[in-house]
Amino acid sequence: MAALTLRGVRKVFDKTEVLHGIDLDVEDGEFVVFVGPSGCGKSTLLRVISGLERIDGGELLIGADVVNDLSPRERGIAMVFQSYALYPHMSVFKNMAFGLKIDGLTGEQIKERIHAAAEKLQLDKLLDRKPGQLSGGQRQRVAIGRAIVRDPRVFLFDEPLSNLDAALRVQMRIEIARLQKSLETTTVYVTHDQVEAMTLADKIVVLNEGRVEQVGSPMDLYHRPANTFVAGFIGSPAMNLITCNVDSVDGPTSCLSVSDQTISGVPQTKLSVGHSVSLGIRPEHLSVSKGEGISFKGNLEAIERLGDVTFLYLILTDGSRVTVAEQGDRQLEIGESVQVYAELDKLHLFDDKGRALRA
Amino acid sequence: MSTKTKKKVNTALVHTVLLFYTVIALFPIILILINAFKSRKGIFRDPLALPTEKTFSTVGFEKVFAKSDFVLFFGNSMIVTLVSLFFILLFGAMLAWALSEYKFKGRQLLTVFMAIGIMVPIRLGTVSILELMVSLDLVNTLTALILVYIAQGLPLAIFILSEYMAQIPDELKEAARCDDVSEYSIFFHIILPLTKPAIATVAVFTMIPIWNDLWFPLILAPGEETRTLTLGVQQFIGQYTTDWNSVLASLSLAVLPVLVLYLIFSRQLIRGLTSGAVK
Amino acid sequence: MTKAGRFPWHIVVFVLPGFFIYTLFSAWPLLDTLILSFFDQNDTGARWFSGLDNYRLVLLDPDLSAGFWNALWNNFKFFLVHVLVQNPIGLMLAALLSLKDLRGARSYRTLIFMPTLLSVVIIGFIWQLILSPLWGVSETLLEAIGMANYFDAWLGKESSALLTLALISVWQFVGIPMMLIYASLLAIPEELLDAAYVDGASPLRIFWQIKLPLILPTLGLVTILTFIGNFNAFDLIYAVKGALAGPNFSTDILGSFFYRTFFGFQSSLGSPTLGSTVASLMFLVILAGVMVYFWLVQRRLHRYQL
Ligand SMILES: Nc1ncnc2c1ncn2[C@@H]1O[C@H](COP(=O)(O)OP(=O)(O)OP(=O)(O)O)[C@@H](O)[C@H]1O
Ligand SMILES: [Mg+2]
Repeated sequence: MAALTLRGVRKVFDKTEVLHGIDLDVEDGEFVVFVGPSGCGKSTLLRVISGLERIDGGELLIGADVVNDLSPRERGIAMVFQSYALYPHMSVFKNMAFGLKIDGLTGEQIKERIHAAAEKLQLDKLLDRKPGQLSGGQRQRVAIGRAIVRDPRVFLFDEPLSNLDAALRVQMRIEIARLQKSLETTTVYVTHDQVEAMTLADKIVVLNEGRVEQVGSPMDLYHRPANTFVAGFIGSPAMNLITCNVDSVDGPTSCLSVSDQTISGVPQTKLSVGHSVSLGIRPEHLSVSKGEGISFKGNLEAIERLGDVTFLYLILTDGSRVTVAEQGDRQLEIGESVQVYAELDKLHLFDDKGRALRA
Repeated sequence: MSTKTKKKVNTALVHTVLLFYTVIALFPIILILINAFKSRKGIFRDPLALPTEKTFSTVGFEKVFAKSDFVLFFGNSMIVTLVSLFFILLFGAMLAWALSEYKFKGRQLLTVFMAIGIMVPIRLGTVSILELMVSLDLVNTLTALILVYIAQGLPLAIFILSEYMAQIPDELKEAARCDDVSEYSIFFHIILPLTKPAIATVAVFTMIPIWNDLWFPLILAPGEETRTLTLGVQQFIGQYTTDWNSVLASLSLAVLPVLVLYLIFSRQLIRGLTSGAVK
Repeated sequence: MTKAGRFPWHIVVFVLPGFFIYTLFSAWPLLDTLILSFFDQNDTGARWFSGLDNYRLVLLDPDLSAGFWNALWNNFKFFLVHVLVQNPIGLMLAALLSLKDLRGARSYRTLIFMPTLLSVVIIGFIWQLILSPLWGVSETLLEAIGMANYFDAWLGKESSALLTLALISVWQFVGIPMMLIYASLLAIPEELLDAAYVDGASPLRIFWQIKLPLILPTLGLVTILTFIGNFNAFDLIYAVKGALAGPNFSTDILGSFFYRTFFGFQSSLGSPTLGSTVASLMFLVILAGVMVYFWLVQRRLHRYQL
């Protein structure tokens, strides 16, 4: 168990830089999740941390030691791969014992550790099977078992659940969370899946094109996205971003205009008249029921009713689209003009470069 | 030693081994090629030297062309190889298609029957093949060689091609059948073009042994007129063993065309080899 | 697949040409050879059934059988050299070539494979020249590494001729096991090797404990292909040593023995029926090899789904 520190970590593939100086602090025992669009460098960053890829710049520390030039074993990491990467010709037991033997443990110690891990993961009855005779979920557990018997300082996971079906994925997600809490091992976890990120992470790192966009707790990112990228990436359906003009500023509030409408009473002090800003409102924070705060209207273009929630797709006169997530089932006509409302403390404002503006 | 330097040493070691073996693989061939362009004195005085102004000579080549029908042999080999190859690919693809697409009586049996040829070398049937060719009056004709090579090449061609054809999606053929396209058109206009990559693999596997074969040319077509390059070179060298210039020149002439073709097509060839092997 | 009621002529058209040529020039001659091995013939060409007489002659006759057993034994030695030298070298080269991030792998592969493409006859002559004491190339080279004393006319000596020829053949064909093994090494998923590396395994351990067990089926395949090729070899011996496979038949293998039995040599006349018998025996040897492969090797070597 150890803290993990990245200082200006860079990675270059054939002259193209794919990681442009990553700074990150992971505390001892923390569960960190990397998210970001495909190709943004999540796997690469994880492999750099593991030692599978060389670092081309910056420093990587595990605990207090710089580990740039150490092999994965010397770093004390263990990794779970997307394809599980179980050795197909070895039994479950041997799969888990492989690394331990290299570490020089005695047969007794190896058995002890494997049985302890197998118990935690309900693998006791499967130890003599080959990976080919296991189900997807069981293979997943073996892969995790192989990582935990090593008693590593840091766990690394690269999309470990993406090959499982939806039901198993939920089950394994909960299991991983439980396991990590009981082991208290520092963990870095890469995923595409927002729900995994939100539920598992102590801390989420949002990556985009080889850069860190924002680091924070799940609720931090949800309530206080640092920029439009994070705002659009976290949350589903994505946050509505409406480009507005600042019409007037009146003390603590200001008026914004979107083509023919004016949205008044937006709380903000940093705006000056004439600037262009993005107004961000999550679909679940918009409602057709009259309320406090701001309001504007749009034409109802489409409607999707899922029973527990209804999605309304509005189009404003300037062509911008807005999604509204209404609780329950709503009867509305397509083509109708709909007035929607949002509370003031649920509004986000971003400047013309996409950076969040806070009061 | 740090991990980094250890890695560097390892890499250097790997390259040393590979380089060493590459030299072993190439040295004999290069040695023949450089000495073919030397005078007799040059060949013996310093075999390892490149031809210099003083030792350069093409006398070997002149003698080879004067004393043997090298061009004819080369042409014979070309004809035999290309014609055999054409029919192996055509008939092989047709059979492979029939075996992988149509359900007919005896299909399993036919598949096994054709597969025997992969395991059992056709050479073992030489006695009867020769008698057959005698009775067909085909001895000392290129046709005899071509027929035998087609028979030799078909099994492997069918094996590789049918495996590949079985992966062609059914929708493609069914769409054509709905338009009432004939089975022949489906084969020639839809299936064959789609099978091209596998056909290239088969071509590689088939062509080399035919071009290089000594056995059947020696037995079925040893006559001067129908000699293939391999047999021609073998006989020529047998006759002029002591004339080092001629021997080296004839060897070079046999090596060079293959070498040039290989360097041009090596990428496809090796892709064919490795992809065929994964199966 | 065929429309009801109409005879599927197209199947006939697709099958017939290939089937006809294969049957006439491969399958039938093989069968005919097997049949012929039970017949005897006189100088006029008349033939009659003679049961196992030919086999008795080839296998047991004091005069004739010595040649067969000598050739068979030599052939085993020839095969053994390939298994012990060619396949390990091929494996080693393939293992090195498949290392991650190896620069120039493609060039090495291309160049090392080159000799395999050349005719065995050409290769035989080239090595004959190089090993010739007349030319002295090998002697010069051995001198350069201080081993001039070891030079000998290897191809001319009974004790070393067969081994030398086998090594020439190894030199030429090492590209085939290399390629087959290389392809199967490339098929091992990268994550699996990453996992072993993360587990702390050294490249050597990864090779012995992960890669090698996974490519065992390919090694089996390479071995049986080598077996079939070796027990059917002829060209190299004939090119370098002629039909007599000298000195004193020390390089005689089944292929060259078959050729002599069929066509005759020096004073003794050739015999198609005895030739057929030798061919049939070669067929049995190859069949036995293939069966051993399928029943023992292939069944035990599990092909793991990667
Ligand atoms: N071995 C490599 N050689 C060259 N470029 C690479 C290599 N590995 C990754 N890249 C490039 O680096 C970038 C980041 O890739 P990476 O695999 O880290 O993305 P990712 O965020 O994990 O994507 P995904 O979510 O699809 O897995 C991509 O543009 C990719 O093309
Ligand atoms: Mg990835």
